[in-house]
Formats: sequence, C-alpha cells, structure tokens
Amino acid sequence: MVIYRYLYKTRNNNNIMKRNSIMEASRKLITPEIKQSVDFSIDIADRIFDILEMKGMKQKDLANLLGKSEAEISKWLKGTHNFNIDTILKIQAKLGEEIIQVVSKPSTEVKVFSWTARNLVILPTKDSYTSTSKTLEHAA
Amino acid sequence: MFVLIKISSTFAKLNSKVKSIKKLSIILLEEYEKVNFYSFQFENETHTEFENFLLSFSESHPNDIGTIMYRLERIIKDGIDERHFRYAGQWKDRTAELPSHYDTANLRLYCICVSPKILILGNGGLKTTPTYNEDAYLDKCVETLKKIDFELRLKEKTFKNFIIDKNINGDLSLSIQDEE
Repeated sequence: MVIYRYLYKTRNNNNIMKRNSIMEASRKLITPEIKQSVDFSIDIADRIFDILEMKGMKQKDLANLLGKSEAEISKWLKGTHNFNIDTILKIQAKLGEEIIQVVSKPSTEVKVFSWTARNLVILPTKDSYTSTSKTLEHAA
Repeated sequence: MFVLIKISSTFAKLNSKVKSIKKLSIILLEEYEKVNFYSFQFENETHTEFENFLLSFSESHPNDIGTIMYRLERIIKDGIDERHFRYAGQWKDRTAELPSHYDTANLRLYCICVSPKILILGNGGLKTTPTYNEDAYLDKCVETLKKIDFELRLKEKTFKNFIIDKNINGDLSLSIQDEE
C-alpha cells in the first residue's frame, strides 16, 4: 500500500512504467542551462574516456603524461569537473586527439586545432562540402 | 571480581552503542527501459529517503536538485556507469556519491550502484567538511547505505533470483542496526 502511495503509472512503448510524483515535481527544476552544462561536462569526460580506451591507455597513463595524480584524472572522468581551456588544450596535446571543436565563423569554416600534427585543419562547411579541405602548416 | 566488573562494563558499552534495530523496505520508485531507480523507506516513515532528500532541498537548493535530477535523466538515457560516481564507502561495498555538479557544488546524494541497471537512491545533504566522515549526518547517510548493501548482498547469495535484470525480487524488507 505504501509502495504505491506516491507512484503512478504511465504508458510508454506498450510497457507500464512506474513514475514517482515527487521526482516528477523535482524535474521541473531542470533548466535549459543545467541541461547544457551537465551534457557538456559529461560529454567532455566521456570523450576523454573514449580516447583513452581507443588508445589502450589507462587513467594512470594520462596522469603520468600530465604530471597529475590518478585520483585527479578519475575525478575529471566523472563528468562533474569544471575544465578550463588550458587543461583541455594540455589533454588534447598529450592524447593527440581533439576533444572540443570550436566554430569560429558560422557558415564559413570549422577550425580544428591539432597539437599532435601541429596543423591547422580547415574543414569545409556543408555549403562548400564539395570543395577540397585545406591543411595549413601551423607555425609552432 | 575486578575482571567480572571489567567484562560487564565492556558489554554495557557495546549494548549502549546499538540503539535499536531499524526496519525498512526497498521500494521501486521509477522504472525505465535501461534502468530502475529504487529507494528505501524506514518503518513508520511517510516517504522514502530519496523523497525526503528532494523535499528537504528543492526549495533551498533548486539548482543543485535540478542538476541531480538531470544527471539521473542522463543515467536513464545512458545506463549506470560507475565512472560517473564517487566511491563513498569502501571498495568492497557499492556505496557511491552522486555530486550535483562541478567541484564547487556542495549538495551530495548517496546511493548504491547495485548493478549497471539498478540504482538505489538514498539521502544526502550539504557537504561542509573536507570528507563526509567528519559530518555526523552525512556519515550516517553513508553508513546506512553500507548496511543496506551488506544485507542486500546476503540476500543475493541466499536467494537465487533476488536480482534479475533491472528488478529486485522477493521480500524487500530489511533490518539494520541503528547505532548512536
């Protein structure tokens, strides 16, 4: 009896899925800003984790490369860390993979800065997708 | 004579530490395709501990609660990944902490990651000390979860079908020692 006091049922994909009214009320506190911030943080953490897995590296390896403790890297990968630009750039440089892409001029070109290749790669936009992408030597 | 007095005083101390046996029930809060959220409700309480947590902090810390709820939304979408939690107990138990966001946010929710599909949401509060152990209330939240986890593990060993996929089956009532 108590179990069902605060629960109600809703139909979803032909299955009866339980929902909780207090949780539903608390969901109203989720703002677009919260969504954006949490999504961005988790996506960055997941991207770093995926690169480590792709390269067969452990958290310890990244810690050694960056001169950080393994505990700190573990904290970063939880998706709750407020990364600054310098940290992101250092991780990109050590892993040799892009973590974030920045659109500098909408509707023109997407610039991807690669520390490993030391190249500035200009990717074509959808409009100019048929044109050849250019690779410029980055003056280190 | 002295030895007898010493032994009886030791037993008296042990007895005074164990205040009472608390009865509780594990309760299914919400179910989804990939995960089920459970919480637990103490005997004679009107709400589960996670409901108490939401009711306690929704008005005073709406951003933190909003963030915790959205992190749960991500879990609904992606499933439970232990990497996104912080261990709150010891390595041998499954007690974890779900921080609200960034390292500056102080509201903490404690839970048990039973499996990649089952999350038991507990209670929590504002972390004002460097570690949760230094805060009597937060320490109690975590200790309670550790005891529940221990009891659940016993049931998992005893009853073959206690956990199937994202469901906890059978008798979901537990008793734990409530220490002062």
